[in-house]
Amino acid sequence: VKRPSSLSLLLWCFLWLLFSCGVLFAAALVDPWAMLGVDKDATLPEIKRAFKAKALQVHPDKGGTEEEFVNLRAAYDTVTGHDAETWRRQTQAEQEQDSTFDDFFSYFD
Amino acid sequence: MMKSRIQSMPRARTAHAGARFSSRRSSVRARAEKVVGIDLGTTNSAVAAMEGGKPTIVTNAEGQRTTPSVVAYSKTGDQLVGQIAKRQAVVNPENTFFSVKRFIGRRMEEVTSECTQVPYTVVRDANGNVKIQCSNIDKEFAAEEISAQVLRKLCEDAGKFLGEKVDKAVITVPAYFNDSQRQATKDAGKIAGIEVLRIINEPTAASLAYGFEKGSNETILVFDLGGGTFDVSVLEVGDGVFEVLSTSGDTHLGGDDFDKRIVDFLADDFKSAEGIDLRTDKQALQRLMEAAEKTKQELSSTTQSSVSLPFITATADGPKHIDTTITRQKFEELCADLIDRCRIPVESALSDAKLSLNEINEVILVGGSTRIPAVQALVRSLTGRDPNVTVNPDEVVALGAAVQGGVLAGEVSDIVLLDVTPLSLGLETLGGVMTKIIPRNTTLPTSKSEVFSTAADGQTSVEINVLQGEREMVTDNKSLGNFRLDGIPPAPRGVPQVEVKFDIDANGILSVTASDKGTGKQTDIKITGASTLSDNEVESMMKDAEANADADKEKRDAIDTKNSADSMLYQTKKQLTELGDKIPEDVKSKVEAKLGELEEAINSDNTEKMKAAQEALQQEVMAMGQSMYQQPGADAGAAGPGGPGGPEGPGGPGAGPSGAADDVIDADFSPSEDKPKDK
Repeated sequence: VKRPSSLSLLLWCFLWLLFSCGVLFAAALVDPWAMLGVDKDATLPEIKRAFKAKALQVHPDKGGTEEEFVNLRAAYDTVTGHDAETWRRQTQAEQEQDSTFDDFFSYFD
Repeated sequence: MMKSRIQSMPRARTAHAGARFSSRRSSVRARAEKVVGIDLGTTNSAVAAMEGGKPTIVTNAEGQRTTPSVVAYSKTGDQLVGQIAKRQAVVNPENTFFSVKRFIGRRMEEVTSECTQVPYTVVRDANGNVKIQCSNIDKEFAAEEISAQVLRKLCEDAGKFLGEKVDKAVITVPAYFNDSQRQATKDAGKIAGIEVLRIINEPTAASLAYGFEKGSNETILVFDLGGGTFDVSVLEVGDGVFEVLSTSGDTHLGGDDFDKRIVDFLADDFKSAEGIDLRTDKQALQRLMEAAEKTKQELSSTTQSSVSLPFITATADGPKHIDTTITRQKFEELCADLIDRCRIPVESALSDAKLSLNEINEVILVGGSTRIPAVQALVRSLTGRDPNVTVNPDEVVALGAAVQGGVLAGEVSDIVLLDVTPLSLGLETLGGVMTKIIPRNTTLPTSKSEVFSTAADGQTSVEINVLQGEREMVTDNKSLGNFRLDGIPPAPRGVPQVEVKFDIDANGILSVTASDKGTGKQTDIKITGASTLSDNEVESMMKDAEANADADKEKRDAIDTKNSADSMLYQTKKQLTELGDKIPEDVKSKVEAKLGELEEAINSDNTEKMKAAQEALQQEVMAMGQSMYQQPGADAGAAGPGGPGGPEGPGGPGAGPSGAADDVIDADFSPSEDKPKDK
């Protein structure tokens, strides 16, 4: 069994910092797919249907609040619109970070 | 103005929720809160209401399904609204106001071409807003006031039709109306004493009516060419959600412009033949305009139409007439550029919706001008399909507004309308350019913010000029309001951070907040300043309109009383001669005395006296009827109609003698007694 060098210890600390930041960041942002109640691989018609069903509940005319509707719409725009690219890049980065961690722990083994 | 937004927002929301709750409760309780949908058109208006779960057109007092949006003041100062006002336009062109929608919420510089098209006088007030002059009662009206009078009539007639008071409404406006035109329409409702629950877009309303009972998912294009405005909206309809994808239009294009082309053609023709410009003669212009409208309508079903205007003017040589024929081809040639102008909004609406033509399932035609064959041909060539003609282009907008009224009243549960802001909203930044915060076609309600900074070193305040429009430069767009954020700590330019947040609620009301991120200081405005009228003006116009309505009611009451007094006088006199000596002398003299009093009251034109005298006479006539019963030998026929007729006034006793004379047993109560005998 190899002992971790001081360099890898430093790397460990750095990655831990990144990890905690990532967790905090993810918690602050509500996943738009979850908000719409669809899977990440949902098709456009599925997303639309989900949005419409939710809109019938949270639109101010239907007893919801403006904030709820604005958030729902933002989620819909993110999932369907040009914002989706940004979001995908972001989640991809997160996944990469997660995988780095896996590698890192495997390194410990 | 330093009120924190965090405090004010929840309060507003609670109030909102409270209002909704109470209205829903009361609608269950007594169905008293009827919300009507009103299509306040440039030339014609229509009202609809939800009846038995379906939107239904409400007919007006004249029995018509649409009401001309015309208000007039006669020489005696009487106010006329609707068909009756339109009918007298030729003899009273300067005091007959139509197409007022073209002026509502506008500033004088925006409507210079419209001003020359109408025979009434349009002037500029001290604030640069449009005012309409009425010489017969020597008053200047805001366009809002004229529209308010139309709205008042519509609601009063609807109230009579529905059998309940109507004071809540959803009113439609062209989708391409800007904020101040919308606000002005809302003010018109307020002046008319109507609570405007929502202003919705005409093409959106049309889609609501179209898709109300359709289950399928469709992408539709609404092509709405009305009397004065042109709108195109692309919507996705299905699963109870009516989502506007894009909207576009032209607020200076409509049926009136087509009429104008015919007027100009006829007037130019006449000028070259006779050397007289008919457009300078208001009465002749009014007659030309009416003839043009009729010709245009005729040319939608026939290929040529004759224009006959005898005695249009007179010269030293004698009277002059217009007698000519216009073919459909000529009309299309005259209007070719107008028809072509319809092309641009259709194309931009489709490109904004990121759709191609083959993705549109239906094209719906709305507005009377879509009956013009050349317009239909254009739609066909643009969209490559036959437009849907299942909806009535004059009524569909009002029907849709009624559906939205039903949604807001809680009567219609499974529908929601997701409309958009038709024009981009933003603010003025360095160099007089507009920076957009909310792009056009953003779904409402919405909320967007952006951070700005100062343009000069040591700048301690920023001026925020809220703009609406699509153009790059500030001067080409509409300014909705101005406010200032002070108290920014002096710093080099570009350092302070000012966050500007735009909020549009479901009612389309925009509020803008600016906050300095450094100090946390903030100011906000609700954009209601876009209205061309101040709150005080609206308030005083409202009182004015109410007072006028009361005066009208009094006038009406006086006329009604006089009419009924006249008829009672006549009926009673007739009875007295018919019955003759059958009436005991003492009863007869009493009746005659009261008759004299009533006659005197009528001659003196005193409403109160007339009412009192009528009542007194009624008593005596009843006594007279009674005395007929008590006479020995009075037959059943005389007794019969006298009984039920008695309380009805003069009509009852009047029916008595005829019943007796014919000896026919046809009184209300007779069947139960006599039917067995007949069988």
